[in-house]
Amino acid sequence: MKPGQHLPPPPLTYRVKQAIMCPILKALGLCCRSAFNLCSEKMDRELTKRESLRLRVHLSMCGLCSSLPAQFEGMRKLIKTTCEHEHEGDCCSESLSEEAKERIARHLKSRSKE
Amino acid sequence: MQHADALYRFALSRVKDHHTAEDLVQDCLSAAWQRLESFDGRSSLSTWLIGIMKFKVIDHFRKSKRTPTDQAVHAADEDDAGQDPVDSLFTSKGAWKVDPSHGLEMLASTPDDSAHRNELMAWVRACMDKLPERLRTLFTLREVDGLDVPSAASAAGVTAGSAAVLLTRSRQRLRLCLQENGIQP
Repeated sequence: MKPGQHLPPPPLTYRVKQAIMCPILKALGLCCRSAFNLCSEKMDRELTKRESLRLRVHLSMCGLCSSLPAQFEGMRKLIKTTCEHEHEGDCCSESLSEEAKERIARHLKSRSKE
Repeated sequence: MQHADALYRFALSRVKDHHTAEDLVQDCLSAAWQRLESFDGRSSLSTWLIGIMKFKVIDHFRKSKRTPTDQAVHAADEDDAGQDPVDSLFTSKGAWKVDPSHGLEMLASTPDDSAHRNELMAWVRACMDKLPERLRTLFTLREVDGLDVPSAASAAGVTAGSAAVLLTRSRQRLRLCLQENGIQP
């Protein structure tokens, strides 16, 4: 099954609007896919004035894409929180083996004698 | 050794290899022992140790004989038989084929109850583990450790130019994975 295949389609109003406007928007670099990519790239670099303007114009007129910046920010926050909690005992059961602990303790002891 | 397990879990979450994670714990504790006088007690000991471990993990990636290459863009996608999974979300004219907000309500607010939060985090971890290794490394160094793009690219063994494409691709894949799991807040 292709990724995203079981996700629901966008609302009918969007599809009708896109059927009419899509070729023009694509030619202007204002299609939803471009906006999607720009929203992601904005998290790694400063967009050029032209890109920034294109994105602002698109987000202001596309109801479906207007929540993308908040979604990307929310995802960044969620992933950071998840990874920062990864070493806390309540989220995973992995622990260092007794053998490894002994080996590390021996190593530290030998270093402290040096 | 009371912090060793936490350090081990942290290292394992990044390098996905038990032996390497054990070696990193040893290196980290050894470095901490040498720099003990620099610990001023402003943060907790565990926070200080995790800070050292982050540097050890980054060093590990830098030393892993990764040669920066543009081919990494393709190598990172090997498991997709050449197709970007995000292609299936858009029409050829660049319009959405699917509702882009469906299943992503959890990004608007963090669930209050711990069971729900743990479930959400488990899904995030599962989605991150689905990323090809090089994408996951690059993405974690950038998004979690906060390295700038050139530094993250260098440590992950990709060129800075490729990194921009790969980071976008990682975000798209993660977003799609979370969306497909559709966890509600």
